[in-house]
Amino acid sequence: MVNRRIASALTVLVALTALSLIPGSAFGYSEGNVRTQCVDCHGSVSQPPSESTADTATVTGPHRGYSSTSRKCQTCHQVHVAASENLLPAATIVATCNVCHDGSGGGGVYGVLLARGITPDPNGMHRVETGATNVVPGGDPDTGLSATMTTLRGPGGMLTCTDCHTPHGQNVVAPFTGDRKRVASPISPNPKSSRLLSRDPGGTGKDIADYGSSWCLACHAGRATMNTPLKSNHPVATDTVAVYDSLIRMASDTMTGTTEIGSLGGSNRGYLMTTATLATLGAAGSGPICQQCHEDARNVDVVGAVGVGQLNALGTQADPATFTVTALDGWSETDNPRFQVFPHESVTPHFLVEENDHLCYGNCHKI
Amino acid sequence: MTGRGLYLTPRQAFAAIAVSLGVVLVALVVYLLFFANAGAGLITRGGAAKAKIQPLFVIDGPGTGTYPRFDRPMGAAFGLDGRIYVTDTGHNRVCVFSSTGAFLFEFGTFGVAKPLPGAKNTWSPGKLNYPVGIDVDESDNVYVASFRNDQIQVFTADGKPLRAFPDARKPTGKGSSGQDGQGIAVTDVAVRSGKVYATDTYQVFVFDTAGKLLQQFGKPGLGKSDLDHPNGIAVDESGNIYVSDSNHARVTAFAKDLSYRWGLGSPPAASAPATTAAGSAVFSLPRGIVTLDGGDVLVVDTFNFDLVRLTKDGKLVGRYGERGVEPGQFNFPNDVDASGNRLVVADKENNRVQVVEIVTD
Repeated sequence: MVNRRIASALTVLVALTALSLIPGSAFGYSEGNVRTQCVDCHGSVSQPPSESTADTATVTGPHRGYSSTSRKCQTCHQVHVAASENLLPAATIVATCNVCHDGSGGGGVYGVLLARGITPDPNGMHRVETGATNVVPGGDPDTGLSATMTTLRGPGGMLTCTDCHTPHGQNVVAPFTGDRKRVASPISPNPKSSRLLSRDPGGTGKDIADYGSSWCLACHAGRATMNTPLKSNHPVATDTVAVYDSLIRMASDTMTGTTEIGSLGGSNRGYLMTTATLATLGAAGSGPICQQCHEDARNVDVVGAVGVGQLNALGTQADPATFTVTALDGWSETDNPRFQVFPHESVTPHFLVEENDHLCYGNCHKI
Repeated sequence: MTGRGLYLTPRQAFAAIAVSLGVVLVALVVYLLFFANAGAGLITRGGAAKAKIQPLFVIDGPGTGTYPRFDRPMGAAFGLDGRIYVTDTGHNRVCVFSSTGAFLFEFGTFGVAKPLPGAKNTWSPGKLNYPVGIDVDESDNVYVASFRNDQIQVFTADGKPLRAFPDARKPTGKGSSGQDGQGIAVTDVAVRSGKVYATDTYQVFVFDTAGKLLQQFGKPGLGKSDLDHPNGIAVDESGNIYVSDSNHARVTAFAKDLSYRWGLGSPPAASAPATTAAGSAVFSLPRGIVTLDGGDVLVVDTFNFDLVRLTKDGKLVGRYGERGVEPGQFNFPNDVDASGNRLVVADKENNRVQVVEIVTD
């Protein structure tokens, strides 16, 4: 009896030893070919507005077209043992987005300036997650002072990509012509796109149809206090007067006093406030939209050119030859702006299109 | 209890225990030696096969130094002796491991070759800026796609910088996607028979190993030979060129004379239901690509989290792998290389590389 027990014990010992030599696995679930149709429960997500050109496949990428016959959900979501909240496969929302948006699958978003030896201005960044904040400049609608937002969607309540973008392509603002030329499209300057900008930026519960001042003011609400008794902010146009894709701008890429209604994106026409432009704006009782001062850094007027520091007969000074964005981000040294990474990072503080007094007297105001 | 059984005297029992413990001790010594041989490194061995992928071992990083773990490695290649070269993209370096996964050394640090006005040029030979694709030539030299410096860097097998090309501050050929139209926005490299093939944003450049431009082809568009952000290139022994036309969700083959041979997959339709499901579309986002012994082509499909095997004529052979975090599973894999039956996969979003084998029926 004793010997049998010893033999059994030996057998168990050898077995345990053998088992201990086999590396274990932490997870037992195989995600692989889950055939669950997410839309059975989550519904078929509404399609974004028509993107206006044949380049829409490139413009929107995988961020649309969810249906009962597609399996796109699994591209960005993992049903079990996901690495982070929202069933994302990467550790964070930013990391998930960066699978493609690191520049290898399209234009880079963050890190573009650092790759060229420039540290972004510390006050010219919308930091997301790492180093981000939930204290929003001008966030208090009453005082115009900074305020803490409690609706941001990132880890710890900090800003993240999905506070501004809706990756599913639903509930986005109307498509607009932007500066970015990130597809090799023959269309100049670029196909219209919503940039997947959410109609509810910052999760504040608003419903903003067009990209313009209201879109920024959803978070920076205190910047809209021009009509309060304080009058503590520069006036900005309401969406009923102007939005990014529809505002008063010069009518051509050569200096002219003629104005037209067009997009702010794709040229500098909307940044140069000619006498005629200002007169029209004044008649409308409005100021510019936020983006006419806060956008990608651009040299609207040319340092060293004749007349610098003096407004010309049209009410501004500028080099008409540098107006139009002609190529993909950073491809053309003469393009204006050079890099199209607004509002992620900028070389100028506060994402101003120009620094110092040039911003005021070069573009709008006579001294 | 009666009956026949195993009866041992106390002395025999102690002897049996001693022998057993001896066996265990020997096993432990072997086990430890196995890992001692592996040296420094964050390695996991083996595991069960999953979706026809048999994991051999997993490397999470060098396991030592300032950055003991990888940060989204996007490229991997075998050296002639079976060494494993990994572009640790987030750390701007290349890490080198033995054929068994032991960390050997690393080379490369961050350097900016094309600074903006007002910024400092911090590049010197050997410095990298977002290294992505990687390959090893017949002389065991290592070619690295330094994506954000718009150039290819060449190193010896031991990591000494040899040369960089093309000139990142001059236009290349008829034009490229590099910053300011200079250099090339290179995402992957393949070296074969004295030629270096490199993918740019919308085209392919061919150099000799010294860096002289020989050919370039490809352009934007939706034509059958047009390209959109290709992120993988491979060349077989006959000189046929296979390109992962990533954003067009297809693989395109070109002959040695650069003529179009075949394509598999198609650009995603704008309004039609997306067809990323396995079986309804071949590729979702093909990236790394390699030719296998015997001529087949193996492609990483980043968005389908698997490897796709094709014949050299573009016929689908099979798919291997699945999404996950266990050994043998992938999470946004980005590159693959082959050495015999062994494959090394840059398992980007798992922050690791895996050495695996395909399980065939």
